[in-house]
Amino acid sequence: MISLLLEQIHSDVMKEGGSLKNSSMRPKLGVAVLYLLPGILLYTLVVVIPIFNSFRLSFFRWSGGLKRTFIGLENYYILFQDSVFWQSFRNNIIITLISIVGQIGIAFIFSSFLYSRMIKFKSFHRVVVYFPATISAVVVGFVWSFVFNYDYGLINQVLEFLNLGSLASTWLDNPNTIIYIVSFPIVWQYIGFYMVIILSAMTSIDKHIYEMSEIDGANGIQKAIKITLPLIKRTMGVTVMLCIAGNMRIFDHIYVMTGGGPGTSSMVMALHVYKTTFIKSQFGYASAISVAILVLSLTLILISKLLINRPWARAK
Amino acid sequence: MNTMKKSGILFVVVMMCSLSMAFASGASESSGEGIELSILSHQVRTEVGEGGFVTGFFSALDEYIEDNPEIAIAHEGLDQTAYQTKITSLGAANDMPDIFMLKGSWVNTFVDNGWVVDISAELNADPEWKNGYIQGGFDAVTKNGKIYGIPQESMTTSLVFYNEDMWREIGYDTFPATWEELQNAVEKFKAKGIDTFAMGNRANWPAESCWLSTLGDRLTGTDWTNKIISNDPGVKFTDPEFVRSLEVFQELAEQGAFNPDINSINELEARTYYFNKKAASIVEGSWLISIIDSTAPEDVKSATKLAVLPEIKEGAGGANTASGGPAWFLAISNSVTGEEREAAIELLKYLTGPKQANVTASSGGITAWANPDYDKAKVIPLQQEYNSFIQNVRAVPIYDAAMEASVIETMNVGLQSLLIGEKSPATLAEEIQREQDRIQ
Repeated sequence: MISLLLEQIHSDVMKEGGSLKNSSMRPKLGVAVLYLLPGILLYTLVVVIPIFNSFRLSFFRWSGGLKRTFIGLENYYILFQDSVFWQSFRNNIIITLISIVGQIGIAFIFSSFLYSRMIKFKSFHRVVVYFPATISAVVVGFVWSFVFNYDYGLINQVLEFLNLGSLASTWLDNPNTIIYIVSFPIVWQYIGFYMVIILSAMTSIDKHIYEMSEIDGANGIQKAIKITLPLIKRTMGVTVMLCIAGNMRIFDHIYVMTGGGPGTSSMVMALHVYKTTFIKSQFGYASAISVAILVLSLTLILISKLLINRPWARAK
Repeated sequence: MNTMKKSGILFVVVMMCSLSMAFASGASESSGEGIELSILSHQVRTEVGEGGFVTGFFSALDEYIEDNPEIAIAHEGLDQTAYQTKITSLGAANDMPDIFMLKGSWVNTFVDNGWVVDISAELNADPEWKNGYIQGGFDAVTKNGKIYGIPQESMTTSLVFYNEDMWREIGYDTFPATWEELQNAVEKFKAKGIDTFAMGNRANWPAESCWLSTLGDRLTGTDWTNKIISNDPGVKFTDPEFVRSLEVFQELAEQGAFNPDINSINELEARTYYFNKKAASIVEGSWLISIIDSTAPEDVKSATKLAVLPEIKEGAGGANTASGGPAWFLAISNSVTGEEREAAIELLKYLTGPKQANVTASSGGITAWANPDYDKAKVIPLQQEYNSFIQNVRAVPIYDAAMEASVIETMNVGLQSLLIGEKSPATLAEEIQREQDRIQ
């Protein structure tokens, strides 16, 4: 599965950003490997080995000390019945779907505007939209929890000011809407990140296509949906994959704004692992949850790749 | 091509060298002449002067450093939540600080993992030291007859601080004595648009530590509580008395006794509600006494009086009780080597004995050291009121100081849902019991 993904990324990059395939500047294989070696070693040490270790630890009952008891698949059996885990998974899916529409959708709209002729001060807009992505997620979470505060928060104050005080509510206390409320800062923070990616992909589109379509009478929206979107499809595939991967392990915002509460209504999988490890001291079970997060995330990414690229349709 | 290959190899070699240097530097520790002791606590120097215990802790620590110039002390202080994460990580990495703070509910895990050492021998060798602590002070840290920590504070976690003036306005000269009277008062406060109680349950321990520990015991009786703590199979959280205590708590919340944002604000913000008179009372622990003295507005400070939760007639647990006792203990970890041990024990005596207790007591803390020596007249009025008030109150166990951490976590998280009507008492009781059953 991983090699399939790597192959996809490789072919995406090769097809879009100009091809070095036939260039005489291309380095020999041995030199390339030598350059990549330190990075790969570091990656193996810091990412790959801990993942395998986690997988191994998920078969034990371990509270962090010297004693480990082998219990086979019992952790996974408990995991299947753990309603908090499945609630967290559901919350992660909701956040991911909202982010795909919000982060990537809004980023695409902004990119289309910034790419057109109408907008002045383009670099200023780029900086302002990208700026939140540079702030720490913890800071973003804190600031937004002040905004949502019932007593002195910005939203309730503005509603009072507009004589709409009856709409003011305890935004962070309602378990039915909390996951949507918490998605706001997450979407807000990373729009700029995806906008930069999509904007750079748009620059590779030949401008003549737009000129020809204008002659044919296409308006802005038609140009965006029928011309731009299909031509940057590979990049969109990459952004969707980044979005899913990032939102499956979302932690900082939720931890700071609600701590998973009220109760477990805004719990996400990464926070569930954290609490199981550090508060319940159940390291083995937490490892099992981590393995589950990895498997579920990779599955979702594979599904999204298949839906976007549709290899069965192209083969015909 | 040749130059490119050469510079490529050179580049890789330089990368490898710099990486290996980065990894090597962190590992070694300076040792040599002199003993070095590391302490990790959730006392932070910037809080000195705010709570009684913090002041006493650092005063004793500084005195020890002065008396023992040849010993190097490395102290690190964190807030409670960060402290829990750090101590667990250090334990799992087998890199515990020499002296650390141990919570009663962690004792089983820490002892099983070998992270904390048995100090019964040194305690028994110095009876004057051991017997200087309050009755039952070592209960939570005693396992299989061995003692693993020294109590520092003896707090009451369930104290009602009420604004006398605001209660008088609705016709109550003192805090209601029975639960029915309290429910009537809630209706009257609701009519005035005032919260009867301020609660900040974002960190999810206040509802359980300050309310349920007392409420639960009132309905179940202390015998039941002690059996749960010792994991006696004869009692369960699903027993009707405990479920009833959850029902009573939920009914009070549903009646509108609390501020609407209980789960999204923390204890500090809840205190602000009380200080701004948006709430008529607040239920917190004895640590709030010195905080009120230093930060409350004058009119609220002078109007604040103390009480315990009202009597629930149907309960088996008596009336004048409040959860209290030592919750945090100072302990020695498995990192302490032979020669360091004596110095560590000496430091423990400083940090938990009279040197700390006298300062703590005079700055308004309640120590686990039974008879601190301090000028009683200099203590703030609310503290003096507490000292005489508490004589007539029987202490019952604090749930999160004695019960297993995983059980407490399930209870705390579930209480957040219970108080907003999202979970039924019976369901919550079952969830907690399921966690209790998983304890080995």
